Amino acid sequence: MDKFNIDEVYYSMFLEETQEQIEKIEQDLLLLENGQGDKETINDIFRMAHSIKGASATMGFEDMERLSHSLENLLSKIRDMKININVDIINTFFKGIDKLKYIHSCLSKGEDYVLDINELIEEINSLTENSTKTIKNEIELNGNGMEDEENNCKDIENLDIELSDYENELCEDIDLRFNIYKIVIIMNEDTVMKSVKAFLIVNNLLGIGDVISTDPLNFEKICDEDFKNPFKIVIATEKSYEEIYKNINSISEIKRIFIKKVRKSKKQGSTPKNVKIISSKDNFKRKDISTIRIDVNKIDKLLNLVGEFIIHKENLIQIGDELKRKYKTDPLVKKLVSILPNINYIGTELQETVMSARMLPLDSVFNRFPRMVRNLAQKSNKDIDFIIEGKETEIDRGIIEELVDPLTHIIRNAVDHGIETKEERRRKNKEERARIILSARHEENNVVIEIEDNGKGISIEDIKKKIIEKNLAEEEELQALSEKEIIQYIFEPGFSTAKEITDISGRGVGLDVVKENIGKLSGIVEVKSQKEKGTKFIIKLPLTLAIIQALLIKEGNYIFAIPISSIIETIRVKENEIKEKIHRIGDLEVFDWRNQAITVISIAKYFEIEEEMENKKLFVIVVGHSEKRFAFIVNRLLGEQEIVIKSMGAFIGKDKLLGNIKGISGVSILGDGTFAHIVDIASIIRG
Amino acid sequence: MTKNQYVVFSLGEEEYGINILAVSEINRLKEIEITKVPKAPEYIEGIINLRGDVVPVVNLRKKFNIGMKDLDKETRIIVVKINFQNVGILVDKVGHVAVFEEHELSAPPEEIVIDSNYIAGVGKKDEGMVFLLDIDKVLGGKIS
Repeated sequence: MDKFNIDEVYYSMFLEETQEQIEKIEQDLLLLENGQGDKETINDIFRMAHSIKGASATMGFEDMERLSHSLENLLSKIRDMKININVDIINTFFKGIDKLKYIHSCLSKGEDYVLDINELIEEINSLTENSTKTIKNEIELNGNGMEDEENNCKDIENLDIELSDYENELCEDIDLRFNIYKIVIIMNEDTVMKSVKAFLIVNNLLGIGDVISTDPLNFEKICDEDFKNPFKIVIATEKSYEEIYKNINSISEIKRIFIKKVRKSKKQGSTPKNVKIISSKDNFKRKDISTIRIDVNKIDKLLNLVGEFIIHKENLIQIGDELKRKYKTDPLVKKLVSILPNINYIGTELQETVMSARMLPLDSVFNRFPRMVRNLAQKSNKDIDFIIEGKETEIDRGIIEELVDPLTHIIRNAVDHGIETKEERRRKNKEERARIILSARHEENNVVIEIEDNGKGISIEDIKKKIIEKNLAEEEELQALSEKEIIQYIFEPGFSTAKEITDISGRGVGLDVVKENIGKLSGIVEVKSQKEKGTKFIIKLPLTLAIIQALLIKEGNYIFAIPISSIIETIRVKENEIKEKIHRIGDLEVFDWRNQAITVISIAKYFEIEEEMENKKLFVIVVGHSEKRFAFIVNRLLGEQEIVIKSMGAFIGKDKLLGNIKGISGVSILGDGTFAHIVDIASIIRG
Repeated sequence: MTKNQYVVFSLGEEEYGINILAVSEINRLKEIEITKVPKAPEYIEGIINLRGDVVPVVNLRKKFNIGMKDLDKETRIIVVKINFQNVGILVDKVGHVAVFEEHELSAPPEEIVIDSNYIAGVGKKDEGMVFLLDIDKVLGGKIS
């Protein structure tokens, strides 16, 4: 144990565990509130509050301890059915959790905090003491009766204190002169870091005998929640019961110890020559995938290196091809050419592995919303079922971080504007309890996230009014547009149909920002809505941002890369066809694409590149952006290729070195070391 | 005394210095290709690939509004690190490293060709004056 600093290990374990516990309590509370919780949920929360109390007391964080203690008291009353859960209690509980979270975040940052928890503790205590109070808004439990203490006692009697087959097998190899004992140790439920305790116990026992096996096997790696109490040990030793008992009992926080001699020693009096540790081998029983925590910067560095490697790999393969053409018969060249496919394969595998290491499940983002929806719904007197589906869907961590704001905005909107008040829903003969579904799933190389509500839907009439009011378009123009097109206006800057500014939304940040943010992630956002039925936002995102398939084009001396995911079709237009396919209407050029007139954007003109007009033919690249289609005109195509995206975000933007450059989202380094500029379709289309 | 060491380079007739602590490397142009960035401000010469790192290059002549000069074999890119980001500056030629003790420094004169905000001080030596640049200010403090 003296090999590492217990304090440090304890501290970081403490922080990690309490964080998990706080989060779990929060989720359980939401379950309870929705009536989905049962007796077990309450027990769960109780256990966690208890262990937070224990852990913070051990670490000497008094506020945390006092707070969790009072929460625990409240819970025990609830558990014993002396108090029924109601909205007040849950609200108070959430307040407590918030404070715990705050303290925790300060502790993990190593900051001091100023917090007065006395008032809150009084509030909790008054709830606890007021057990006879009549209760409103009662929430039912799917209770399935009382269990615990009594059952627990039975459990202890039924403790399996015989050797298992597996253990028997291990014991066969043990020298006959040793006694073999099976020890069952029950630790206090609230023992913090049981794995450390277990380690101490085993470590101590090694002083008096051989530990043959333990159950759980690799106990060092098991966190408190999963730690199976009791902890069982099989030991071979010459010592007596008493000595073993004393040895174990020297460790604190142990509730009970059972020891049974399962094999008597055959020869007496001889001493063990040396103490050999038979390690508890990892065997087939092990199910968990072992994981380690890694500094994100290391993964990023790795990704960068892999990116570099891929660039050079492409280059190498090109050289190999050329060599093959030039010196077909040279044995060295043949050798080189034969190993290149391996390099190629390894490169691809490397890339995929590193990319997958960067993938994280969406739940870290999704989990923050139930609480938000709950609070918003309560404030605006709405009743909402918030359902999350597919939160295990994985996506690049770079994207995850950028998703919080757009999703928050859309979900806020849904609660605030989408869902009607209870009275309104009643009037409309709708179910009083509204529903919002947040879901995620993989679709080909995309992640699709949907936010769907069954609220009042978006009123096309209201949008039209607003468009005219804000001078975004003329009435005649609107006549020509379909509802689908009109609805797109909600993504225009400065558009907000909220009738009044509320605390919840209408802070001047609109859906245009959502669209821009999603666009920055190379994603698209669409909206579908049906009056009185509800609204659905669909966000489509690439799986990863770092490496994409792109079409390279050349304009003048510049090379551009257009993400393949946005390209619908590439069409070659011969000189004599230009006139019949591309028409000029005033300032606008349109391209005749399958009898549909779509806006033409010349890449050269957009980037102010002087064209040499020797090339009479041209290419039209039809790109899609949400519902719209555009025709990009380019002079030369260089081909399709995988590119590694390098962000220039540090230099692009208002007041930054490169200024607010539009139309470029980043660069990529090509095989020969030169750059391709990655075209930002969303911003080009905006003009 | 690295604190008082300056990399001295020239732009036209004048000599300028950058504190050596800010400089990460100096590159010849023949080893590095500068790629233009469409629609970037005029003083941005382009970007370079510095061992996989994307580094923007500022043309100091343009930034200081001193007449143009073609790139030649003496042209250098001095890579400086500002806020953990590499930025290249394009200069006519790099001379030597000079040491200026406190007493050899004076305040910038008022009648100089470039914005006096950019000058942290003037170093005086027998051969003449070296304008010591406040490189953070030159690059506008415009890097995140």
